[in-house]
Amino acid sequence: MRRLLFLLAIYPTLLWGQQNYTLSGSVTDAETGEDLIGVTVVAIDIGKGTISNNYGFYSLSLQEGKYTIQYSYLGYETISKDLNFNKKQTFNIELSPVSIELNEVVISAERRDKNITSAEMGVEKLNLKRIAVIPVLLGEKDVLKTIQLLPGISSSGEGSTGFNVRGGSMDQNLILLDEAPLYSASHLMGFFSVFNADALKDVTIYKGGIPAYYGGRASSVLDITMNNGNRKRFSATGGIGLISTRLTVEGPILKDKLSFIVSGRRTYADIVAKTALPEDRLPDDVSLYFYDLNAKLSYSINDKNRLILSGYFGKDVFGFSDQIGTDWGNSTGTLRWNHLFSDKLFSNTSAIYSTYNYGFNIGQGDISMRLTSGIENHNFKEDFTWFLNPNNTIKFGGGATYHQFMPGELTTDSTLNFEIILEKKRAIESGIYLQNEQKVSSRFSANYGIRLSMFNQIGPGWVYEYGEDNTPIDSSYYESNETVQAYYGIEPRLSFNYILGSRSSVKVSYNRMAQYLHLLSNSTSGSPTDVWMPSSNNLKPLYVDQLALGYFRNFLDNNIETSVEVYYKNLQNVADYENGANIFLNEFVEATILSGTGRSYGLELYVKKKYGDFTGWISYTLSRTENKIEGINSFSWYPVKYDKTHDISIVGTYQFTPRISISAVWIYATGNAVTFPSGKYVLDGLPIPYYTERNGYRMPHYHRVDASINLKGKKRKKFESSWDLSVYNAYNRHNAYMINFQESETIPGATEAVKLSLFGIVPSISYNFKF
Amino acid sequence: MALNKYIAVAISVLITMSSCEEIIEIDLNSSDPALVIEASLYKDSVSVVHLTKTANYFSIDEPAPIENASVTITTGNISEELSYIGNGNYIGQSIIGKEDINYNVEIVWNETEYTGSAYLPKQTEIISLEVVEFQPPSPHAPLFLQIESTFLDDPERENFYLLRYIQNDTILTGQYFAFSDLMAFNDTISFTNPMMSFDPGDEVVLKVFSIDEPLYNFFVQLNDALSGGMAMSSTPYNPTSNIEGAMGYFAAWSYDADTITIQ
Repeated sequence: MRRLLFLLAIYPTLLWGQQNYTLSGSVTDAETGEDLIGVTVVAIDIGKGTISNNYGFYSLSLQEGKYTIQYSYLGYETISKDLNFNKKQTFNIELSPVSIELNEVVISAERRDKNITSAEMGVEKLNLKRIAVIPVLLGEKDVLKTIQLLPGISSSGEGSTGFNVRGGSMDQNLILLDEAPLYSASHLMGFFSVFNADALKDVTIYKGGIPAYYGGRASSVLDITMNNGNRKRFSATGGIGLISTRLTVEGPILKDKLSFIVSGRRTYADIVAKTALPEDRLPDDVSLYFYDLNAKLSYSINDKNRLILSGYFGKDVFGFSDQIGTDWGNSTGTLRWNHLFSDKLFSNTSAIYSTYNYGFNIGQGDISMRLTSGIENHNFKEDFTWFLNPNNTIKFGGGATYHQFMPGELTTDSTLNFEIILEKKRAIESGIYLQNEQKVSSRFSANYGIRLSMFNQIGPGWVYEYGEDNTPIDSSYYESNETVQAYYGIEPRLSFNYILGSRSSVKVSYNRMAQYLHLLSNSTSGSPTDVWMPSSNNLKPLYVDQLALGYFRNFLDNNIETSVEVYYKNLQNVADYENGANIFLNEFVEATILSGTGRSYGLELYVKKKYGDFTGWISYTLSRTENKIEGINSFSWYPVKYDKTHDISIVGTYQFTPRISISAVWIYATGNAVTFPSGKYVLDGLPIPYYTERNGYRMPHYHRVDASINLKGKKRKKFESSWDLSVYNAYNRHNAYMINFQESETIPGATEAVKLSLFGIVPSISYNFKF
Repeated sequence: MALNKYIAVAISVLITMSSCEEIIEIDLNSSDPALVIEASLYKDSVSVVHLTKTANYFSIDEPAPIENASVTITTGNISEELSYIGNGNYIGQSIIGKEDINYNVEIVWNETEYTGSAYLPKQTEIISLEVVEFQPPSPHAPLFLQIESTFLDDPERENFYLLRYIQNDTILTGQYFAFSDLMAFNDTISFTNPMMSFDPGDEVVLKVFSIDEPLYNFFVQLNDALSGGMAMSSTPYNPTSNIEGAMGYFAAWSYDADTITIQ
């Protein structure tokens, strides 16, 4: 084994002495100038190739000779170029979208057999062009709801954009928008995500085999890239739905050099209701909306340098005049500099800002109160990609993030003269990584790397130690930037693929992830009031080891993909709350968090039909996620809230004509684990539930069908349009959103269980356009 | 405008067709009966203890009283065993609740011993009760008539309070308003209960109980248990009793009361 690892390590250097030339350049969309990510560039004569990176850049080193170089990308015309390769060359390639609609399935933007040939495992790339056909709640197309239909990824609640990946809690998902982390990715209590699909270029989710250049979360990475803006011509895209309108405008400021894109979305339920409903139904001063604004500038300075500035601003507002109101939202900004040191060495330098803030106001006259909380961070990172040779692409780099946490402030006006201000917390998270994507032989490929991470909780501030009754028994004050507590993580990331034949392969992956941030939440599906906290002297980081094994098999000339994956996760320092924990404005909240071990294991089956008039997939997940924590359920294993034994999604789309398609989704899931009473008692004449076990029961199982019809307007030269008619929960099943136990209103002395169902059948319609 | 009306109607239809509540049948486990204690020692009164058992959640029977327990109250070197007077009630005779004194309770039932302690704080004094008007944000909502109570707070120590309302001779149950002296200002606390609205002509008695911290924590958690949801809310739990191993509480408390007629 040691010998094999040694050979893998020195293999790149063994090749160093050979005389190679390099072909490099960028690949863009011929109509918009957008970078194309993941384009396959291959010398078909010898079967050596590479793919373009996140910025459309590629580099391929070959020995002197004559080659035919092929550039191919799903949904685009393939280009082949004959080269007499005797010097290094640069080709910037523009690929044209195919004019005939491809019926590729939504979850795919890759070469037809990439699932077999790539060493990547547990990775899915969404095709945003086709997301529009998936029916969703109120017609709001949503990438977060689409990924919930994949194996190993489950919804955290009815209509929710929150998701759990392979037994990970919601805060274990790293959600990146143009490299900036989003700390709350949902609007309107979780029913809509912050992602306006019109502004997005690429969505990739990693649920296993996570590359070493990602760090900071334990379960998954959702990496979303915004469009750069059309470099060729001005264009607009938009839509009008039942609850929102969206508009995207993009174009060149300097043709082929400087482009922009601005994309906005706003809900208008309050505006419509106020103007149309009688005055006694809704007061004039009610506010109920959210908005998103995405903006980006991309400037190609020359062939070797490019600057990209992007930002996101989103906010939810809900209130009555200035008396009661709540608002929350994210803001992010990313400034990137792409630089080519050589035709083999690509670098990206990023300066990133991200913040999330929550506020709640209540007041009348001179008496008012405001509650706020939030998180803010500044991040600087440097990433390099070294296209060493066709068989080795090495990525390395590092970065540091300064976190500032605002756990909560309650302030009042001078009349009330009352305030609770929890001390801000600060930390620096840093990491370096090295990874190689290596094609060892025609059958065996590997991605292997390591990430070294470090986390420092720093002052200024008070730090406490707690006694058995959770009260502070000692405290210390730390000065500004003084280290309170330091943690380290050594995180190997390994993924191997062995091709059994032209249509099948086996893959194995192992990764260790360290997570130093924790979300304090008392809900399963997430809430705007959730508060992020750093690891500290009392709160240890979460470490997760994941081992996965998969068999991949394609049928019918890669038209049908199938896979079976099994995984096992071991979690250290997993956290849960003690009974009665108060996480609201509690300076000593760390004392209420219990820590222990966790495990998650499962089986994922996936069958996907990618091409033809009928496309779709079936995904099935059988899983179990449990914690064992002293102080809960007599220190025995118990299921976590979001544990679901069975989770099935069936997705189908049928293209009747080039202008008409229908889609349907059927979802089934075992109910979440939940705590129900096993008895009752009476105090002060009131029946009180009596609990004996945490998460010892199950919610009723969940299932529903959604369906939609997509009608495209007659295609004109400069204008496209479509109508989407969809039905959510078509057979009007009353799925349980919540079950309350309460005193009967009709039978004295009796108690009863009351099920709340959130959505029955919900039809919707939306109109989309592009010109 | 026509489009707006159309969309508004559509939204109304959606809301109408959406969320609904229904009573369902659920199989719940039957737990072994556990001891439930309501033990009170008021200032200047003898102790009263009511013992019952937990029951199956959907049982419609009255809680089963416990008749064969031994209940002892102790303060300092003085103890007394309470007398059983029927229906799960036990009463003391000699130990009278006094301010600023600690008390212990010991209950033996089914060969198991349950012990707890409580501190009887000094009684507060209600300075005033006033009716205040509150107009909810919606202009069409009815005017709320609420009671603002102002009472003394001893600045020399950390204090905890529990408010109870008696409306026209009926004790209002279902919510417990327990709070600490965090909102004290100039040695007084003014509190208006935002959840309580009264009608003109109502006669309301307000009792302000002084309690110790463990009892305050118990009532905060009890309120949480009574108002919390199940699946989407915090994990439900049993309020932490100040009597180890049992449900319920041991309260040593004093109170001041005043009456106001809503005009």
